[in-house]
Amino acid sequence: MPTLAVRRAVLYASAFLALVAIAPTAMAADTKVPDELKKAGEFRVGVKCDAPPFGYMDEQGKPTGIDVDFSRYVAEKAFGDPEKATFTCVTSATRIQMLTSGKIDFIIATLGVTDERKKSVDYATSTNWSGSGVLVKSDGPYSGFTKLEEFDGKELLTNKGSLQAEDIEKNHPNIKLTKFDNLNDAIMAFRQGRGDGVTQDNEPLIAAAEKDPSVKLAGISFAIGWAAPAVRRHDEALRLFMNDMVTMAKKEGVFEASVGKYTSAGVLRDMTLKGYVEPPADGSSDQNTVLP
Amino acid sequence: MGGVEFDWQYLWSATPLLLAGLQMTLILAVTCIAISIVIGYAGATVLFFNVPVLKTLVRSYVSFFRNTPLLVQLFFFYFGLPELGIRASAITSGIIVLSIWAGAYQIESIRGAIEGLSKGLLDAAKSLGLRPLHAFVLVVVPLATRTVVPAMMNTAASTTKNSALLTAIGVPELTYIAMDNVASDYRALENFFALFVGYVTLVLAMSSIATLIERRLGRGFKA
Repeated sequence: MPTLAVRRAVLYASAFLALVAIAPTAMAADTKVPDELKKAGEFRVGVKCDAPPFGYMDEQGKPTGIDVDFSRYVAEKAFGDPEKATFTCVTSATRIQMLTSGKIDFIIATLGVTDERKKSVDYATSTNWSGSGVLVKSDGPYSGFTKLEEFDGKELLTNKGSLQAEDIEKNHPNIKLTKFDNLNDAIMAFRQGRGDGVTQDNEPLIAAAEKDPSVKLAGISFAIGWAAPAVRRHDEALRLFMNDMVTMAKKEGVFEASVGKYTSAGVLRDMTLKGYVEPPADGSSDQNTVLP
Repeated sequence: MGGVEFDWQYLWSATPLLLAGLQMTLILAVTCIAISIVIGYAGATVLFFNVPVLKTLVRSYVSFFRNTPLLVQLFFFYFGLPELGIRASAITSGIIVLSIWAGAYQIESIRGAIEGLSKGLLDAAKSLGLRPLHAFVLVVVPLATRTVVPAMMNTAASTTKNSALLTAIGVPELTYIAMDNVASDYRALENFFALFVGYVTLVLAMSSIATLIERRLGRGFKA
């Protein structure tokens, strides 16, 4: 049982530490909250609800995950209240339409940065990168595959609008793709013996493999891609604000904390964390340009 | 996103893919409508002759499929049944579910048409010495068919439109193709336009065929 004095010392020390921790947020003074956002007093974020650990449903059916935490962090910085972020579930197929049609204010939904998509949205600084993988049956004939080409003539499942679908259609036209509305449906179909594998970002696939030992990731990595928050075209004020938010969150270790919160120790945590804190093997940068 | 205009050139470039989807939709619609009509007549026959056990089965089948969402039936068949060891491809699953869904409605339509016939007809057939089966095949069915065409057409149109739900299990029909285009090209306007045009064309073509059938079956009757 610590004495009162010790407890008080601990209290003071933690208060001091808290102050130190808060200090960098004073920096928020020079990051400008866009007027429109300030006027609205809240914002609507499109997040994934089927992509753990980035965005998924918790037991109560509420969106949770790294992207959700980051959105709440942004709300805290913008309005002083993390509850001012409201969430809408988006799928890969619908997220850009939801943004352009004004149903959400920005996307933080594992949206991969591609030049093609820059015609439709403006990206803020990327939050993290990830590689793409293929989920296969652990005891199946494909578990030893190391190259994507080995799936030529086979059928891979994914979701509509995934980065992997785009990549495979362009670079591996001999792989048959079946696309579902969301990744959960693709994984479910696969577990029931349809198709030869599921392709997506590594993280959600590992999350699926951790839940079900009958599936695992083949030793294949392709199409490294950055994920970034996206705003409507030419919404430069919001984009710059999001740039600052991403940079600040990275500096403050917001993403690391979330990764720790939403993954258990293991491959998934290591890989996810790497995507946030280490530069990718291909040397690409987290800075994004905007098309004129 | 301001400044986006309807891009005819994009629509033109997406047309071959969309047509492949339309073809799949047409195949699904024709197959399912045909099967559903067969189911409809079979079920209505069972109900007409009051076949003991079968009658109850048909009634349960009809109320089960008419009182649950088609999407749920589809998911159950595609994602649920494999756990019991019954696994069919997406297309087969889609055709089976859509057919038996539509079949339930066809049974009800045909049964209704049969019940709408005048009682005197059967009495007349009987007094002419026709056996019940003959009376059914030669008198009841042809006359009921004449009046059931509009209701049948209604179900057929629903079947065509509801084939869009098959996109959820990955059947590459028109809606699948269009939604996939939206997801990869972010061209919503053009793809939805194509969807509407595609379905309207299909359903209108069907109803004009139905009108022709109706006219042909109605010949000899006063309007």
